[in-house]
Amino acid sequence: MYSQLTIGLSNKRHFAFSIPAHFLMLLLASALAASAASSGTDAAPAANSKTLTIAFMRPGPDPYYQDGQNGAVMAAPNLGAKVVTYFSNNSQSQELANVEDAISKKIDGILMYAVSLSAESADVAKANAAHVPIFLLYGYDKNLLPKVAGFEQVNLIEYGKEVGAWLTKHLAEGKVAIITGLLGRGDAEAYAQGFKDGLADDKQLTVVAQVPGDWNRQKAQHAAQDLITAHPDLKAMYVENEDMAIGAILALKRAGKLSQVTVVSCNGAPYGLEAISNGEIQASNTCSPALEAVMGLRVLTGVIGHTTEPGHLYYSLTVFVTKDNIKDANPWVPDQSGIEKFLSLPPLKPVAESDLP
Amino acid sequence: MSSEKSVSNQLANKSQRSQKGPHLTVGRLRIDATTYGSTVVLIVGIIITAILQPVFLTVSNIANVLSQIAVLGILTMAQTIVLISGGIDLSVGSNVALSGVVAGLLFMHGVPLWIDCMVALLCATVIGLINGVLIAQNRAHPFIITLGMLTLLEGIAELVTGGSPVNDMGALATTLGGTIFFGIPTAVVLLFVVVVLTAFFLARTPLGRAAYAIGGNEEASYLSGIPIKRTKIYIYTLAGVIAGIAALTLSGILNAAEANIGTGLELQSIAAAVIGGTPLIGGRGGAWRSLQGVLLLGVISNSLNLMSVGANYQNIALGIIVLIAVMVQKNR
Repeated sequence: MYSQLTIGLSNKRHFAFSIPAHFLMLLLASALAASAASSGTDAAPAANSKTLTIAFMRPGPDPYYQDGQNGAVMAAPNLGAKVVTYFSNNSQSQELANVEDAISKKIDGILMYAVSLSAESADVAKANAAHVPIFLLYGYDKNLLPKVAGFEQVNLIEYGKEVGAWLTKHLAEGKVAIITGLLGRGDAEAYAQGFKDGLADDKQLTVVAQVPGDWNRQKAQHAAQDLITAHPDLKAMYVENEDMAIGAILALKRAGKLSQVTVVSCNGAPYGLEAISNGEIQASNTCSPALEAVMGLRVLTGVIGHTTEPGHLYYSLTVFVTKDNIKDANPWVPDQSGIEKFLSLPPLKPVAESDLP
Repeated sequence: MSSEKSVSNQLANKSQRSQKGPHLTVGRLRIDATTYGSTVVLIVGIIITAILQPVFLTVSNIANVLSQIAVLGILTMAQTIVLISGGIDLSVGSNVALSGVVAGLLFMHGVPLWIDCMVALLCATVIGLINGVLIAQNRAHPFIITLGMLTLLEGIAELVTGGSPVNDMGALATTLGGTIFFGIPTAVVLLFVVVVLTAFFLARTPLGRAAYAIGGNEEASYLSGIPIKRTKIYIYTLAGVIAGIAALTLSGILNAAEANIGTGLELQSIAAAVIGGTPLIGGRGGAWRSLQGVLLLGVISNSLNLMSVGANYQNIALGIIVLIAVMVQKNR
């Protein structure tokens, strides 16, 4: 049931804001730095001196990253490790400072969602200089592959393509629209391209519009209102994540068009699965951040223990979900038995060099 | 009290008289570019879009546009009052998020909706009051103080929600998020009421006139006997109340509350006010002017979506149109 699929540096908010120096800002920065530096959460007390210490770094407060972190923390004891967590507050400089702090604490490895593609190069350079293995969740860069323990992310194009292919089988003909996430990092663009690739063989379905939702529920709601105004006979809508899809669905409901428009999406968030079970979202390609982090931690501990070869790209495990198989979706927020299930799965297979994007 | 009122009126009138800027004369018609620049751009934009996409001027699409600008419009009124007084409030967006989250969490725990709404409004008002007191009692610029408040409120909202959205706002979704009569969105009616009240407040009340006076020349206002600190506290508190109304409206429209729901609203509200004709320097502007800016942003966004313009091109188009609107009003 698993297929090899995914997300990019998904759904991050970037708080780009230039401000004058001032004591209050210094105070805030100090407080945030102190908070970030002291937010270490031990997964479990070190059982013995051989317990590995892994630094887990997340860029922002989004549930996706929080649930990924929780998965790693819960799985760590089973892998002979403890996890110390760091928060980058969507700041590249804070992220780099966290890497430096972690290295100075003599951690054994780093597992991270980087703030941005540009930030991860500096993080990898720091880790390499200190001979600390670093594994990156998302942000794949072929040039960095030889320098890291590995990358794991969904197969961006395939993730959207499966949704498009499903639509061709369940919708005979008509107009289709896409509401994208925030463009600029490559993930939103790849999802849209993949979706269109999935539709490519079906000449009866036509993409009539592709408008931005910027991973923002309100903006997606407005976009959906505009789309059904411009195309009253719209038959389907691909919304690139479920948070935006909920906004789009609300717009369709209020316009009395929900039964006319098939909504498909991606993510597998708890509220997304609820919308699928309610029949509001017809299909979604799902990916559990907790599973993703557990599988990444398994590779990283293997690299540290010299049982796994470093420098590979791995595709996250994804599950394509409709109302019929909703129970197959891997939970974002697992309990301990869920973590044990993740740990019992076969290890991820590296993407062959000839297939690297 | 009457002499104080008289002085603030004189200072406010003097400040507003200085708004006379460059103008365009067409026959006997004199068009003040400072006042009507964004209106001209708005009208041109409407004409072009109506030609390219006839559905633009349908009743349902006009209702769409108005409902889409409702929250930003309400919030821009809060920002307008603060900007006119020479201040700025960067915390309005996070105030919206936290107040909405408060209402959502209370509702989730079974508290009656009307109590949730009252608590949310109270929360927003207290935040505004704290802003006002901090700004009145310190020499630090409101920019820094409200930036600190923005960060604080974002942190609290994320902490109490764990980053997850509250996905049911009960009857708020069918009242503030629904329509009131003849298919008119309730949020639009609310926007209209808030704009009218803001315009009345600024033009007809001693506090509103004092806001103009302080924004125009704080020192002269002080020497004239206007209670600067008290006025600032009232103004920021009022901005908090309006942010609370915006929070409930947004939660109703989305049928959800989320910690990051207000991200960017502070800058959008400042941009809308400035584009409409309420400058950053204080002492000038007004509710109707700021509404023009909100309308302009809403119409641009709607028309680009209707024409299926891609995201990257939308940003370019939006940037160019905003620059044109600002350049037309040279006397910023």
